[in-house]
Amino acid sequence: MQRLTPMLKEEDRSTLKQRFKKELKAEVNITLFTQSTAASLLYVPGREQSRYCLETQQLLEKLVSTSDKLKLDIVDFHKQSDVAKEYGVDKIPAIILNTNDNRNLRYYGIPMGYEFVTLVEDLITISRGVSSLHPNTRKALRKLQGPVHIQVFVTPT
Amino acid sequence: MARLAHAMALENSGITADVVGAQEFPQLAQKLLITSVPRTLINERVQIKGVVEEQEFLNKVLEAVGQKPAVAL
Repeated sequence: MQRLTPMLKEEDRSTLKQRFKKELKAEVNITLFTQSTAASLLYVPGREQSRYCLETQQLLEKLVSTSDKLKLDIVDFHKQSDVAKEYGVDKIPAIILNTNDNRNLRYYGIPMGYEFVTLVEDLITISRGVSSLHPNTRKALRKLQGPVHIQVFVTPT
Repeated sequence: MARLAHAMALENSGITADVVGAQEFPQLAQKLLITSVPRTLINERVQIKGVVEEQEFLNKVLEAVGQKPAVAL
């Protein structure tokens, strides 16, 4: 498999900076569950979560550097397993977008390509507090009973 | 699908929406029989293959919790 290079080009950074300056309102807090570089180099049979952590962290650090309204908290999945448990995170890299007291918007893996665009749109939506959904959809969702767990499987494009 | 799922989770804190990289987590994808992407699983019971409109997505979510489909938008 081709190794992904999550570099944010200078021109992309500059476009993002302008867009975030214009469109972000409230602060948005991002929590990244990752592991140390040393742990990333360690091969543990059966452990899936050892890849892409470093790249994901680099990508997010570059992303939050484009706006002072974006904050990044980094949690070591292995050393701070109590925090991972509290958040219900079972694999890494995991990105949690914090909305008020909720932690229910998540990415597992590295948000590249189309998923990076989704992440940017998510940040703007959360910051502005306005969803793009149809009013009827929002009404139906608000009345919804019981826990729902949606998993969308994607690949970078 | 990822954006729709996250938008839904924003409306109701009882909804957790995970966007999962199938390449990064091949064992999980294999376990859940993910053979193509995008693939959406709701409560690991109802699934959506490919991309659908907001209304159909909503109805699948309602189906997963045993509720009737919503009226058309």
